Amino acid sequence: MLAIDKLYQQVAPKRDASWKAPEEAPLEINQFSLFEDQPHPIDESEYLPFQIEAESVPIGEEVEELPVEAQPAPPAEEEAEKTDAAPAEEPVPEETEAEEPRDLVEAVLGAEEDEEEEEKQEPEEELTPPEPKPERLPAEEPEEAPVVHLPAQELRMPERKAQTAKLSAADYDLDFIPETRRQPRVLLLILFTILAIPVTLAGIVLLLIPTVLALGLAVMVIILGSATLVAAFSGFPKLADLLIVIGTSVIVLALGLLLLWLFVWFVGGAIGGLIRAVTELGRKWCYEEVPV
Amino acid sequence: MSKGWRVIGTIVVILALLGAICIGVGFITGGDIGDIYSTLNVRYNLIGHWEQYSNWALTTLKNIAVGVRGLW
Repeated sequence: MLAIDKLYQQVAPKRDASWKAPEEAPLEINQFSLFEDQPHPIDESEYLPFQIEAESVPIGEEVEELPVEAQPAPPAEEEAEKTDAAPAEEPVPEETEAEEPRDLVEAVLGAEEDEEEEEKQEPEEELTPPEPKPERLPAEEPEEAPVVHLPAQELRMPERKAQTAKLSAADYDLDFIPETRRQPRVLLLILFTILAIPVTLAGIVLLLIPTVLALGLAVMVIILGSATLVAAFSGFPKLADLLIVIGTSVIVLALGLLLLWLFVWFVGGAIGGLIRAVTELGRKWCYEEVPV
Repeated sequence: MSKGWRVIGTIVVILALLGAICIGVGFITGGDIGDIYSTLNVRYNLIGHWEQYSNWALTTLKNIAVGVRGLW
């Protein structure tokens, strides 16, 4: 294992120097991108064979084949056809230089081939299941996303910026929002004030009658209920009589509570509501919105 | 205000039900109105107070009637 590490460290600088950024990889039109709106739902079954291929590669070879993985859409056969058709687009020298450390490692570790074969056989058996699990696809897609789709995002961002610029210029123009202020109609306001004040006062006086009646009744009933409740504990010989008096006092107190709340409603709801309604009516009739 | 009506109504209904239950249990267990009245009359002199207030109300009404006739 120490020998493997030494060889790997010797070869690693060469591999890093020969590695090219995935920006130079050719961009396909229908390339999948996480950062763009998807007009149609993605069929996950299309990506299953590529997922199985990616899983079948040993761990040491994943880094070497990263530029090839930058094109997840075409399968292995299409890649071979593309290399024949357009060899300039494929990073060929990367693959040739990247295969050198693999040969060196295999040459040095000839005695340990049996163990490596056993290790390789185990992941192959694991990575070629009869039915691949589609549940693992969404979990592993984000790991590949930054390597594969960053060029596409960079190429398409100016278009989106242009779209947002068009929207901000056309739809969010603040000049179209009119600024208004409220201007009183003086004559109508004077007339309304002259008429509204007596009418409102008359309504308040009319509403004060039931208000005062409710308050008086509430006070009387609460006093009567309290007196009855006190009298219940003044010395009745039988518990049955005590229960009757207590029940009566509780009902009387409930009635007093209702009358007291009626008084509060007359003050806060009826009279206050009348004043608020008259004020709102005057604001609606005697003011107008004028653009500045 | 609607919430206040709901709360007050709920309290009033609960108190009324409680009082009704007490009165019903009292009558079922042998309560009597005559005994209650006699007990309260002995302790608080209900008849005397009732006569006193009724006389005051009649006197007041007579005075108001005399005043109205004088104005008329």
